[in-house]
Amino acid sequence: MSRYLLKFGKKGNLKYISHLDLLRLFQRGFKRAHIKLKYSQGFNPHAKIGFALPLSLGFESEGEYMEFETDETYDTEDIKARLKSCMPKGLKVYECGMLTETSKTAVAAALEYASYIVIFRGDEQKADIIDSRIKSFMDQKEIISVKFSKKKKKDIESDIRPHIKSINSIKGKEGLTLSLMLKTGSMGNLNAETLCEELCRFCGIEYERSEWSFTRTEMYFSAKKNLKPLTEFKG
Amino acid sequence: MNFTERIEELLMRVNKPAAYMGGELYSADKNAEEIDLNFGFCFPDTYEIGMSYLGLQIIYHVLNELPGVFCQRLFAPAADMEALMRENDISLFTLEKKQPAAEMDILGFTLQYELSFTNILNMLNLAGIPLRSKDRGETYPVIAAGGNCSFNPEPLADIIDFFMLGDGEEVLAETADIIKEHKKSGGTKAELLKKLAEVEGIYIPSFYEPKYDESGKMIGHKKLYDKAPDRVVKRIVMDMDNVSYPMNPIVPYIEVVHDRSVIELFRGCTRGCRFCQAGMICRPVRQRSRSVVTDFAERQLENTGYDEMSLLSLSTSDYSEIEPLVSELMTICKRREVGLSIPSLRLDSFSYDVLREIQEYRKTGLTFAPEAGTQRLRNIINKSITDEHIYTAAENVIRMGYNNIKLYFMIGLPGERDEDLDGIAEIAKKIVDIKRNIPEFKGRFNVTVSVSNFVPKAQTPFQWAAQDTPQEFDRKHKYLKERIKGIKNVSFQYHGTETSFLEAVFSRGDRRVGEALIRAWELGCRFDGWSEHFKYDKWMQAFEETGVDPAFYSERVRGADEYMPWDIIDCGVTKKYMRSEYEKAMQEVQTPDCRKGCTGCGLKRFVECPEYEMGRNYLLG
Repeated sequence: MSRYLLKFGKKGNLKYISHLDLLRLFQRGFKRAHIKLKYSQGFNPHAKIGFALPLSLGFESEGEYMEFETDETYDTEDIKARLKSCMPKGLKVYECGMLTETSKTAVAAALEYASYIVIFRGDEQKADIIDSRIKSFMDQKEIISVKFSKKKKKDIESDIRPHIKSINSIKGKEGLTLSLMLKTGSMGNLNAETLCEELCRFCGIEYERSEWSFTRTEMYFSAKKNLKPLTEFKG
Repeated sequence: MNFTERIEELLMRVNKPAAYMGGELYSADKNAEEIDLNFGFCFPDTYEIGMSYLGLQIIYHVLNELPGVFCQRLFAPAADMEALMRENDISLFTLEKKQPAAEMDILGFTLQYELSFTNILNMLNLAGIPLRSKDRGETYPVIAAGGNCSFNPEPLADIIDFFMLGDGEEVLAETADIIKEHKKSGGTKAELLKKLAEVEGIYIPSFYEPKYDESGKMIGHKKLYDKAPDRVVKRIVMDMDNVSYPMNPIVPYIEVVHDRSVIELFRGCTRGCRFCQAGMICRPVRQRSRSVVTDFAERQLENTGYDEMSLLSLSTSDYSEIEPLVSELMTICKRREVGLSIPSLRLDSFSYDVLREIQEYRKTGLTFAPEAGTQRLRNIINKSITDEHIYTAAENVIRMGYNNIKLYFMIGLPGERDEDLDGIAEIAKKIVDIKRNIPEFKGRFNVTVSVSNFVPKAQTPFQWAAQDTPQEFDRKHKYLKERIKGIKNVSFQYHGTETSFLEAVFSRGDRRVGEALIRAWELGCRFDGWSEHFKYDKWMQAFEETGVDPAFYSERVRGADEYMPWDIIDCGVTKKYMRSEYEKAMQEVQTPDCRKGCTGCGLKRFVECPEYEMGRNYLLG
């Protein structure tokens, strides 16, 4: 048995396909590439594929990770080349590495932070307001976000401030660009869209989804108290 | 913002954005410089349904293989997307290049079921194209249609510029050539239609005028253009091994209804069930050779990465070499870890070996279609299975461990009596008893009786027959429900009567029902095949306002010599043959499968019917 970690991107139109669609795309892609995935045992066997973190519908990404297991061992460069040749153009295959077989740590469990590039394409006046208010937004002791929980069937309040590591902004010709580092994974999780909604609320601006575009750029785990991109994760 | 960006604006606000974005694996792309003809293939239902239809993949492939032709897809947007498109003034667009539909040279609709007709109107309207041919000037694309429902084209005669009858592969290529030439040389739409009138298999409704008698019955088509054919003969592609077939079908991102590799085994059917339109209009039987089928299977699986494969034909087990074929396909599928599903295996030619092999993979429920509850009624409809076949088959599959059996029946068939309904309940009960009498097979067991309402179809021996009234259907549903209620382990399902009624009006309608269709669309009808969208009261209002009596079409027994609105189309089987079949039905006499000997349906006027050896299973039946 061999374990691999694949870094890939989801660009262009592919931002409109859901997590389940992506899973299906990979299952078929592996078949086309003649890479035989290991299947789980049991009544309803399924391929051993695990994503580090689902990506929201509508987000692009340059830093997605997926781990998978195979029975026979393949060369990682070979896997990369084969997948590249049979995936649609919006699906970018960046890197493939091997994970330690013996370790059972799932990549999803190791994950701690994700970085995003968010572009606000709304009018300049609003962009200026947002830009000027970021510091005071971050200076707040707590940022209470209210989300409706489908499970509990009521609004749930949570403080998102501890989940924001950094927000940096640059104004460019595309619009206002925010680069975010947000807590993610099992120890706390903040969606970039939730952050932008809260930021807008703080600025007294209405959040309009179509004015924002989101790209996840990388995911990180911590090793010896340093954050490292998941490409360095070995299991 | 450009058009594509304006569409993208909407996508984040709809339920299934991927249904409008295109760009799937193997979707076509061509450079503007190499395109001489823009063909918009229109499927009048949602993406998820259209992408499950093999015909779309075939036509898309055939057209895009032609140099200079670019075929793009258009689907009916779901209600949420339609609302946003209208609100933001976005025209119906192609998936591939996000071009407005009106920029196509030709829009071709596929007509798979009558209840999608309002979607055609809605798509034209969303494209900003006038509904009626006569209101469309030179600047609009020419509107074409094909597919099974074109075998009675009259309800759409005022909307569609020309119909293509029969197999599409060749006629589409010829048509594309003519339109391409026409576009180059310039000329009016009327001139184009005149050129198309000379192509075999093309029906141009504006070249004919319907004639009616005082009672409102149609008595003929008056030709308005000399060179238009007296009758339009459907196209038949005989060589299934060499006709184009997609090895690289588009692989959707989102889940569609049938999300799998599909290999078409053969076209046509020799059984001659008298209610079955496909069985009449798709003759003769033309098979793909076994080696071609297995080659296609390998290549499609290789290219798509699908984990399921299905075979397609009207009656799979009638394939002359079904057993060796299935075992070869099983080997291929096993090696590739792909599931194989074989639909429409027939009770009377059931191959238990095949089933046993398949069930190694999946053991789901099984579906049988006795269609009628008694032998007498099965004689009427020419369904050759017997009670004994049904029970033997049931016992066999129960012994294999299946614990779910679904039985399909039709009610409202010509000559049906209440005792035939009793027969349906009887069959279900006996199957449950069979299970009880096999003590070693304990456990959960269920028989589902699924009943659909008979719809008399054009170009079938039952085209003369009346459909039951909705009230009569309701009575029969209640009657059956009552009969089945007391039987343990049997559940009962039935179709709504209102949609069956509407289907009957359009399957045998003339040009006048087209007006009601347009009115119904204006009143908001669309997606009529979807119960959550179907608006019966609006339909009734539309009929009333346009002076169309729907019962005239659904409930009336046609006269033996009555002219039928679809008589302008020659489907290969003669009217005389269909009438003799109708009369034999009334005498409760069966006609044998024509593989046992030619029954003279009329097809030999045009082609030599290939003779295939009958499979071993067949002989058992």
